Amino acid sequence: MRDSEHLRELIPAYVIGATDADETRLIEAGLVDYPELAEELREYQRMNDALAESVPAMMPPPEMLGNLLAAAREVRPAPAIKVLPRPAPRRVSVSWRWVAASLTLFLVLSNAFWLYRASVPTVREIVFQGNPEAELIGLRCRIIVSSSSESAIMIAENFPSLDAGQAYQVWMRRDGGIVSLGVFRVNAQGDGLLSFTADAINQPFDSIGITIEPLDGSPQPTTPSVVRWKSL
Amino acid sequence: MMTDIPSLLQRMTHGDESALTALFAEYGSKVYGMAYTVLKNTHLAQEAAQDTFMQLWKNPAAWNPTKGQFSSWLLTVARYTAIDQLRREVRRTGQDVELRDEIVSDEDDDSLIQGMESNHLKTLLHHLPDEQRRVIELAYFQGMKHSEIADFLHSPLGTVKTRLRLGLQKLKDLLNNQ
Repeated sequence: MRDSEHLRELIPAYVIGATDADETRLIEAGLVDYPELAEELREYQRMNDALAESVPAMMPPPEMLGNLLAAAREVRPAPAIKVLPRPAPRRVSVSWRWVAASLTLFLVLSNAFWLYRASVPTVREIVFQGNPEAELIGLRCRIIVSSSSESAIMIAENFPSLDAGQAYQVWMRRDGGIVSLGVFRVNAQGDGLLSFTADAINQPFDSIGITIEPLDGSPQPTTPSVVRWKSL
Repeated sequence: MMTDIPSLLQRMTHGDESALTALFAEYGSKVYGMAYTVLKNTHLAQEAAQDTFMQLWKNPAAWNPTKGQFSSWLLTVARYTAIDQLRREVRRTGQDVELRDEIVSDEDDDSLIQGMESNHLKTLLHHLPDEQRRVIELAYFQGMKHSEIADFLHSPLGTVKTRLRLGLQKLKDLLNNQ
């Protein structure tokens, strides 16, 4: 025998998977009979989502990406390279727990990943030149792009921490115009990562710069560049 | 300028490893963090985190956008994958699950919350009475059911249910008030 109040009391535990088997069956049947419980369920599902997001992020071991890609290749070998539509530039939120080594890891493992391919691709590295103040604090930034990958990775090191409402925004100047490649934040160690399409880098451009902008980015740069790279 | 998840998942159906790499770049630290919080062991957490991404790689269509955000879904997969890993390790060693920290942990402390640096989760859990926090830790991070928690804590089943319900209700209120 069940009633809606008894089922309501079980919903929190049900959402996190803590109900015993008979309780789970009771709730799932009850959600059909008592549609008024749906809102309670949604509220606790939101709680469950927020609880998961509150678990601290942690830097994976350096070898994890390489192991993952090796395992993925065993399951489904990569198809022949083909041209795909370019996705929109995206922001990568970097947890404060990322350390500088993890960014070097991406550089190393990205190269290792690319070397798994049948033909060894060329890897290009673009090293940014900082402004005088950036040079003084050891700020470093480079973009790694492979001829066989559709993604490029920008690695930032020793960047100053920003206020909560700010982010670094990456700009590219080409053909007389300026476009944004995305925004990123850095962890407590000043390290950040941004991934974007390799197409953006593989076409000719005049310069790339990074400025400090609001968290969601700006349509145009609003501050002087922190670092820049100018095409020779 | 958020990640285009559907596009990445679509690319993964065609075996695009760069899409997998991009998802790892975006969510790898969160997935690994969840796995490590459950397992407290770097090797096992890496296995669980890798298994999580492999589940996605094998079935990119598993995420249903109508059921919630991708991040929440992926972290739920990571949590359950880590709990399964924990249970396998317990079976392998022949010990009881309550000895998780002795079996797998490579940390000195034996409390979920004491082992954490200051972070949002720890702040949330600190708001709860000890008895409520404990049952939530056992349920959420060790995958225990009501009856298992009652057995483990040698508490009446009704008491466990009440503590878990009240603790989760309080967490819900705390999270809603943020």
